Amino acid sequence: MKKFMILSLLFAAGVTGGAPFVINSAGTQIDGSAIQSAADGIVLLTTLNGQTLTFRPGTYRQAFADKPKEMGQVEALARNGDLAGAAGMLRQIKEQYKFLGWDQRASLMLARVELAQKNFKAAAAEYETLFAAQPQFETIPAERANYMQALSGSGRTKEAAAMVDADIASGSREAAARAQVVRGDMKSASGQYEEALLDYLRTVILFREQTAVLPEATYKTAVALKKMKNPRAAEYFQKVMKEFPDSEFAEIAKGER
Amino acid sequence: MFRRATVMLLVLGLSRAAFAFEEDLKFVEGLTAEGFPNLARIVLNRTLNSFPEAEKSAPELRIRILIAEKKFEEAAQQIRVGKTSSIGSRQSAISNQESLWLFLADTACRARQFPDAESAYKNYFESGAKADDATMQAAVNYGELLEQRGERAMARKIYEQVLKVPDIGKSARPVKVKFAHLLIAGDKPMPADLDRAKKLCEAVQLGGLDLWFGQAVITWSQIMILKEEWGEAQSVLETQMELLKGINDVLEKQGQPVSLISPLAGTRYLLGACYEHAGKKKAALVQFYNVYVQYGDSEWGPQAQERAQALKNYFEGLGKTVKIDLGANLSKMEERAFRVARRLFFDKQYADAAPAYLEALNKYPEGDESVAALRELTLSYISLNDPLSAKTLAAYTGERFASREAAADALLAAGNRALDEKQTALAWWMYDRYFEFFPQHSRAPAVLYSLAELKDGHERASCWNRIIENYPDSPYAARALGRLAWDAYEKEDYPTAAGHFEKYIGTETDSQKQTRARFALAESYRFSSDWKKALENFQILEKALNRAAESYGVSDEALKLNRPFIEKSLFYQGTCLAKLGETESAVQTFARFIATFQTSEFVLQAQLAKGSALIELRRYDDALAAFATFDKTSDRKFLEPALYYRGQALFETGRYSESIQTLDALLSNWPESAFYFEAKLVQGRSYAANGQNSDAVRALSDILSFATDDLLLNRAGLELGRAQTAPAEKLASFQRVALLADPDSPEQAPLIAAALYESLPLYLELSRPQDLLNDSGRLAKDFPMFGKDDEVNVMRTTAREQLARFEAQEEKKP
Repeated sequence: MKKFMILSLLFAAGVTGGAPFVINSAGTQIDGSAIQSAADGIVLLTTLNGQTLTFRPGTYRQAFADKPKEMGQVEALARNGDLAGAAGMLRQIKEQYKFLGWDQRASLMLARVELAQKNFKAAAAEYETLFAAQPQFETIPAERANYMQALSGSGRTKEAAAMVDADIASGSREAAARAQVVRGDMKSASGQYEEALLDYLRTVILFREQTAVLPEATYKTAVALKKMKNPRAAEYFQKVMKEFPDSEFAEIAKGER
Repeated sequence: MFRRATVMLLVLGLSRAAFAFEEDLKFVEGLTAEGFPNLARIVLNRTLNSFPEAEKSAPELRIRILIAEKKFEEAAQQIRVGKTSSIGSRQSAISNQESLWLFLADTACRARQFPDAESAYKNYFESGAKADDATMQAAVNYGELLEQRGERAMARKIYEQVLKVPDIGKSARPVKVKFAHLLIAGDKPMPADLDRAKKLCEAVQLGGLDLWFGQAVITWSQIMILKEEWGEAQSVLETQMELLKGINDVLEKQGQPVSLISPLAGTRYLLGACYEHAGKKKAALVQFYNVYVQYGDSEWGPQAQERAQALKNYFEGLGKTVKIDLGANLSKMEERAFRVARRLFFDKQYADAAPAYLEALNKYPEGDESVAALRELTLSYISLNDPLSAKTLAAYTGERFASREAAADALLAAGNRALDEKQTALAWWMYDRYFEFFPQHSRAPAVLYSLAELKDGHERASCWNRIIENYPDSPYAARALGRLAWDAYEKEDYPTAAGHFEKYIGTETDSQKQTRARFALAESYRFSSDWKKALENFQILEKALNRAAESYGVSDEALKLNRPFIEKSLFYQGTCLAKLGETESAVQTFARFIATFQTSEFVLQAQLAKGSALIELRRYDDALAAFATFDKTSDRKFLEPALYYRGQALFETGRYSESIQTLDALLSNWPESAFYFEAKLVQGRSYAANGQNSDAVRALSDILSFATDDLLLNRAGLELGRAQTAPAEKLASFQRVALLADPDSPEQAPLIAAALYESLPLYLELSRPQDLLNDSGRLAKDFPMFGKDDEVNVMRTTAREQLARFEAQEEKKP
């Protein structure tokens, strides 16, 4: 189950291949056959005709290496459930591919892997580094929700609560739906089962268009109902299995009935 | 000849009468049909007065009037009664129940009273079906109602029943169209049903070019699409388009709402679907967009908008620019999406309304209609006794729509509904959410104030305190302050009441309320023994009311209302002054009161208080004058103290016999009086002063035998010593006081000093010089300010001499 989730997280990070290239300050993409970077941000691109071009910081907008072979190893480690090994490898990639695109991808994957291992402090720190370098990630509801979980798990409840409440009140529909589930988790963790249930149930009945969140929200609704000894719990476990048979939550729901 | 003429006249007269009331009854029917039931009832009653024989037709007309008045249940009851009435009963039988059921059903349908309409249609069709347009229209209406409730089998039965009527002809076309539509509805229609629906549509198309023709074309095309015969459907739609445009033009010329009913809506939509299926996405977008723009109000509008949007996204995804705006009619479509749910809600069919609302809300989660829909859905859940869903909805509404006034109203409505449904805990939960999400809502203070009325004790006070704290500028803050003050006052928590009244008075603008509050404030201080503040407030009140009484245009009513407050304020000023030790002012105030309010219920009390104050001032003659008001006829509660004080004043003025006599009147009449021992004490002193020592000793001994108060006992002991004549007895009485009184008590210490001092001469007399020296030493030590030092020193010298003599005599002894 955990393995399934991690793999889906990794693939969701968009691990893609392709030849290396640099987009210069004028916006032109220059393709190459090899690429290297130095700690000071200098990028060396070997062009398709064998010439080596040096790009100093400020002379290029983006540099991108081809898919590192280490990425394949990360996937293999994750498949085998060795999340700590995957995390170590991702840290290496971050260093090795600095300024070459893969550092940020590795950073995002590392944040997710840390979260999956419940290394909340490390996950929060990784997200913060990533958001600082690439602010657009902070606007992605799924990453925001992960970050909120990391904050909450590392005891930074006030910060998490402020983000959660803001997204629920005025975020996009997706952000609100995800934040509702996070808040439900926070409340459930502190024993406020009915309050948690209201958040999960809200997501289930009023956010049907948020299909990515629905299986989890439905499953958690069932769990909260069960904790409250409400007979409707069975109805919701059934709903998870029937409406989201391919989701990982359907698998857990089978055992919960 | 005469006989024939008489008969002719009778016949003519009867005919004229019959003709007259028939016209009147037709007039009644016409008025009812035109929607004037009140007038119809008047005309009917008038007709029946003039022509009692018209009563035979009256029951049916009365029912029609009831229907026109929208009293559907009563009308239905009357139809049933009329149907079962037998000949000879007082109720005339109704021969035409079918037409009445139909009239009721159609009227209820128009009035949107669907349960009544359904019930009436059911009764109508149970009695059979006629081959006329009215019956066909009734079948269409009834079928629609049933379909909306998901009762497809029942709707089908009705359509089948109607279509079986012989000689039905073209009248059946609307029913055929509805039936065909019903047959193809649902997830997977049966092939046989598709075939039957197709035949029905083809039959309708042969009947003429009208709306039903258009609908039949649309349904026929849908059947073809369901059969996967896309090409056939497209071809028919394209070829019929011109004919349908003609129908559309006619409708437009007639002023009909074409955007709602034009058959071109469905035709173009299905054509778009065919084009899209054929991969002609551009042509499809044109059709969908056309439907959306021109027929957005129709049932096809929302679907067309969705599909146009999807195609627009597709083209834009390819990097193309699509210059169409699909948002303009969104609100109309949104409104339509909620319409069914709303109808069910207003029909109180909450169980059916809830899924319909959820469907629409998930489609339009944050549109113009959403908050209203959330409100109605929450109310539905409350009525369905589903607090969990109601809470979920309410929390979402409050949190997600915190900037919308309507969301606040929704939570208030939910709280209200929960209260109506006796779900008190849920109601408070709703109100808590309201205050959580809308603390600054314009109605918040008023709501909190109203809620306070539903709570008790501490919770109620808590609501008032919240108003004062959170909404200090609201008029309700003043009211809450007032309520807190009066609440504490009623509970006799006077210090708290005074605190609240102090704040409340400044906020109250109503002069009468301000008067009552100021008086209660002064009283709160008086009951708290804060005489100074009590006095200040009584004075403020008296001044304000006197000023008001002298102002221009003051009404007699206001003067009458204020008078008791002025009266009591003045009286209690005297009381407070007396308590503060400002006795002279107290006397003056009581005198002013007595002069101003001669008939007041407090006047005797004031006389009494004035008299006792005068005694305190040692103005005994004035006091006696004040007590002269009281005689045997006076109320005991006044006469008792008056007799005591009068006795005291007479004693002080040396009129001992009168004092004894006055106090005797008190003691013999009321031996249980609170003044009994005090009166005995004064009487004992009077006896002693009058030389009646044995009487004095008897009176004072009574006190020592029965009283329990230490101070009184010691006072009486001192007076007893003074009244007694034998030195040893006197000394014993003084010594009891000197030894037993409490030297730490400010009231008893002077008694000890007096007892010690008055013992000294007795020691000399009884030849006990050493005791004199001892007690005089204690007197000097414990009461250095007692005075009479010279007298004491003389006695001490005498004692020492006496002592020396005694010692010399002792030495001489062998």
